[in-house]
Amino acid sequence: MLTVRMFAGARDAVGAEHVCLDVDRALTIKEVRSKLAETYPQLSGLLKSAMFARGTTYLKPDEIVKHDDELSMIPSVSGG
Amino acid sequence: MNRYHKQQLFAPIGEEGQHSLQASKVLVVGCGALGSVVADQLIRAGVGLVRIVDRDFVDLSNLQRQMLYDEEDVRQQIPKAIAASEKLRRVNSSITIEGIVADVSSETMRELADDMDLIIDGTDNYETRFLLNDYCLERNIPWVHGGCIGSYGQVMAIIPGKTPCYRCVLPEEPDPGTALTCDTAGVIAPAVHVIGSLEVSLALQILTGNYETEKSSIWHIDVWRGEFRSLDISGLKEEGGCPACGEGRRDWLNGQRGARSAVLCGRNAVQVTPSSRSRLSLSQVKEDWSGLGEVMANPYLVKLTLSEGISITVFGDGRAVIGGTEDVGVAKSIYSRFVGL
Repeated sequence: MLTVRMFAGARDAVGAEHVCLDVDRALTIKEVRSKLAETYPQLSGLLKSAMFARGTTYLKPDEIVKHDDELSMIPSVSGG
Repeated sequence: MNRYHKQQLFAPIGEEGQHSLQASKVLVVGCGALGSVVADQLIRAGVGLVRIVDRDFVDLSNLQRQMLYDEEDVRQQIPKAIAASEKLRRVNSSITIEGIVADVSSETMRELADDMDLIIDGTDNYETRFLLNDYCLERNIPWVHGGCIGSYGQVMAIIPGKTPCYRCVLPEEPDPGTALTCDTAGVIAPAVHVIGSLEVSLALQILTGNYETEKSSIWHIDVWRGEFRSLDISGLKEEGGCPACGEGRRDWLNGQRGARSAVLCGRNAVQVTPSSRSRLSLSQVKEDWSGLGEVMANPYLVKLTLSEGISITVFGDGRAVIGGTEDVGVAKSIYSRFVGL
């Protein structure tokens, strides 16, 4: 199980603090994005500009995460 | 009595830092909620020249959080750049404060930012930020990014050649209508004040030579939940591959990307066409706009009529006609606020 903690607008969109993705292999962040969009279509808009992190480290799209990692999804914001 | 005495007592700034601030020229792009907080603190801190650029005028829904404006500005529909600069000159007459009513675009960017030591983000849309990023990389000028919505926001400093840039962190511009805007999702004043203040903190560090580029990070804050997280982004720079700071592309500065706008002669309207070609979900737009004014929809378009005689009609291809103005800056501002750029 890959755990993705949701922040800000993402938390509001899924209505939960975190979601679990049923995966059995390592994935790239790009794959995590598609998996999230598939499972939670309401996230698809936010996903394009969202940042992913493990702990306090920003993860690039080609970064590989383990099937039981815990990640954070942080949507970027543009208001001002 | 030295008006900056307390600030100079703060050791990292001191007398030397104060001199640096006095010798500095800073551009504030956008003077809405974030820009108000930023401009106010910069002029009080004694930055020698503060130039404020904004394309919009003051309206009633601004007053809940845009701390430089009042009801008289709303009655007179004063441009924000003018209202802000007039007010701030009464606070500090010993420095230079410039208010410029203009749309920051690929055509105007160079002239508006000429000769500046630092640029601060007070904008409300992605595309102006990508433009600022391009310009600052091109001219080797540091800039501070801030954005907020709801109860949260993000802040980062970009020092060209030393830290990752805005495009490193945000490789893709979101499609129109998919990003939340303050007008559709709301925002509270505490979020704006915290984010604006953090932008100024970074600005003061940069201007006084205290900013440590090795520790580059992006901060995310939620003022409702009391969450503060700092993401380490220093690894992004070493990896390279960024189209802007790695490959040297300036897609927004050279006008290849970014919304196009055209005044529709004789119709008192402006057409805004976003650069992204993706389709907009009209049903989502209709839902986002409910309660904001009179909403009319058919299978091809959704129209929102606002109380000030301004209307926005958006089509499935993302194009919109903003009625009630012939000012391109105002039209782009309306598009940013209600659809998102």
